Amino acid sequence: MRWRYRGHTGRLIRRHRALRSLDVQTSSIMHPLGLTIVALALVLFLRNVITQAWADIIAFWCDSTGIDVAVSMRPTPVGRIFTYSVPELRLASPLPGGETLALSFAIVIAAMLIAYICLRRFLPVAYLVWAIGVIHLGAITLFYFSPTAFPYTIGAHVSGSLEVTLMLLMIVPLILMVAYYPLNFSLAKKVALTLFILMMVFLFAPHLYACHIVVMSFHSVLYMPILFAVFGALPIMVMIIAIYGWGMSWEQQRQ
Amino acid sequence: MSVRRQRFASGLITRFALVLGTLALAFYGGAVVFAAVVSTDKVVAVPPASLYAPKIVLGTIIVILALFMLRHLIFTLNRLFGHQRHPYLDVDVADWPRLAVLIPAHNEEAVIANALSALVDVDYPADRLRIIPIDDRSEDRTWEIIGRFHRDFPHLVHPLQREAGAEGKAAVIRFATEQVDEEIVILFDADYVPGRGLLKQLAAPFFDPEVGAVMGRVVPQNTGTNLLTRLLDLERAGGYQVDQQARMNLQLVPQYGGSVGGARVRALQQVGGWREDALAEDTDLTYRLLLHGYKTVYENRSECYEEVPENWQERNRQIMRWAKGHNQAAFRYAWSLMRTPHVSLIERLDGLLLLGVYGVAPLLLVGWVCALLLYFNGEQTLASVGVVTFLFVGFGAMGNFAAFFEIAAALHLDGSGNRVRLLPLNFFNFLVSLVNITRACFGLVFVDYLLDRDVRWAKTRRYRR
Repeated sequence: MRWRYRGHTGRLIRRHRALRSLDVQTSSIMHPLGLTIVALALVLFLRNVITQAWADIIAFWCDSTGIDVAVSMRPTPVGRIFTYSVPELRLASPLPGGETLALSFAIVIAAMLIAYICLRRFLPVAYLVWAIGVIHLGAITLFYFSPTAFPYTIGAHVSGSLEVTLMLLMIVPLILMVAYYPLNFSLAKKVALTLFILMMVFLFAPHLYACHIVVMSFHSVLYMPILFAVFGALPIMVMIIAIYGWGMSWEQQRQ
Repeated sequence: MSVRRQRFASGLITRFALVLGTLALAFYGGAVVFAAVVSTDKVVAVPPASLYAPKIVLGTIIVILALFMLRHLIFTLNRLFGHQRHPYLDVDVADWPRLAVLIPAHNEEAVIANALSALVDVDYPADRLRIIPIDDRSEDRTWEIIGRFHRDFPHLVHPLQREAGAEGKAAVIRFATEQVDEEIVILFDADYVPGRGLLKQLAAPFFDPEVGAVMGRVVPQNTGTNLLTRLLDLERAGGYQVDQQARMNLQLVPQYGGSVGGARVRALQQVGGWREDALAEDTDLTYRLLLHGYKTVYENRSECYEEVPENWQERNRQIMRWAKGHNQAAFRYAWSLMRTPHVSLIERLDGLLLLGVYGVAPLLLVGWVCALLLYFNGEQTLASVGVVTFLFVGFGAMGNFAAFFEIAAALHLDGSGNRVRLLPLNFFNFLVSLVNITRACFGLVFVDYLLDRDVRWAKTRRYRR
């Protein structure tokens, strides 16, 4: 540490937070470039291994819960550049019966009422419950009037969601390129954060969508809209931001 | 036709168009939902052509939100790595201008003593300073407390009492400003606790004749009370440490924020003084000064502590008032801003985007509805892309509330360690803001404007014990 930055006890005198900024160093440019290319290349190189692992994980949980499913891989070309495979699932997509609809309607109304009563203390949670309730009421209405009009099967839902998750995995290095790699953290921390986030998405997504399969197989596709809109990409995104926030709290390198 | 009649006729036509447009939209949305519900076609529930509108709306919203996100990204990278402008920071010894410090107070017995104690202790030359607490029809001990300070510091504290007139902060400060003969007015809300050197820091920019208003940084003082106060602390950090300072760096439009700031009295008079009918008199003044060629300066080093709302109801009221006031300013000044010769192109663009920040929430909500509409009609891929994009863009674009990279960067610069781990919980703040800003926007347009109702000012509750 330079002498002019040392205080009475020999420790660093920090600049006031209002005036603080980061110096542009070689690492502020090289790290974002290098790490993004490496992380993107890694995801692209392992894309079919990743999706195959997802297929295996989902097949494992379906077997364990007694759900009859056939899993295969569907190659999807991206122009002429490369091809990625997405798990394709074939399983029954039970439609909701009258009882399920009535019970579900009662539960939603009760939940929305409870949310209304608890509104003052737990407002954000109440809003979330209301949002879920509104979407679910839409689904109940659709299935009540015209159950066959619903255009999705469980297999299509999970395949589509995993495809979006694969895109998400490719976007993560691009987000970090702007939001983390240029900052004054050590290279090891940047690599660690990238791996944490990629591993989390890689492991969390198939388990999340296995849960979707279980819920819908046992309780009908009535729950698909809500699983898609609220319990699909949203928790994955929130977890990415949580790990990013954790990474931002790590010790900075002195400049 | 008289001007009054012309205004009445144009108002009537606008209102009629608004009602007609809303009905047409509601009819279209209802028709699409109805078609989706009654159709038995498994693949396409409604004729594909009728889905063009949600697709176009979704695409347009994504582009607009991406623009806002890009703006936040540029601000954050500039604040982290760019050249930081603090042009008036070194002004320490000077022939200081005469200053009137205004503190509007309505039922502020819990906090007013702290503010006054701090203000009588500042290092500003006493012969150039007048502290003016304004009691606006308080029903508690506010006036008594102010009176005590007047007795103890008669040369400094010159209270005013207001017993009639319009409600709201703008009306109170207009009343007080009309009675001062100082060159500069500095404003503090009654819950603010300024440091000793703050007044000099806020007065220094006024040596520059181009400066019309100045704004300091607001730091929450009751951060540790509960989750909400912690989340608001994150939001304030992002808004001031990054957003305002970046706008200062890039010579854009830093915003005068109503407290911990001040204005040049001559400039104020030139632009017509404080508007009593403005819910966000701060935004209103920022734009009127800008349109008259004055600059607003942000001073990141001029920190002052405030109380943030400690419960969600209070927070809702606050953010709804901000949203209504900000949108009121947007309706009033967006068009003039596009045409004024006083501002550069980049200032104009930033000014317009700043005016539009409270329009992001309803846009986002409309985007979600479009994504769901497409989803229910078999467009899963498009809806998925919409949802994922909203998660990114929406979370990154939400004006002053939830741009997560901006908040993270602000806390990084603040060196505030583990606070940044609360970042994902900001989703809740984001959700509540989204709903209430949308409510405020619809309230402003469909209730206040259509019914020609006056927008009402709501006071923020104090918690200090």
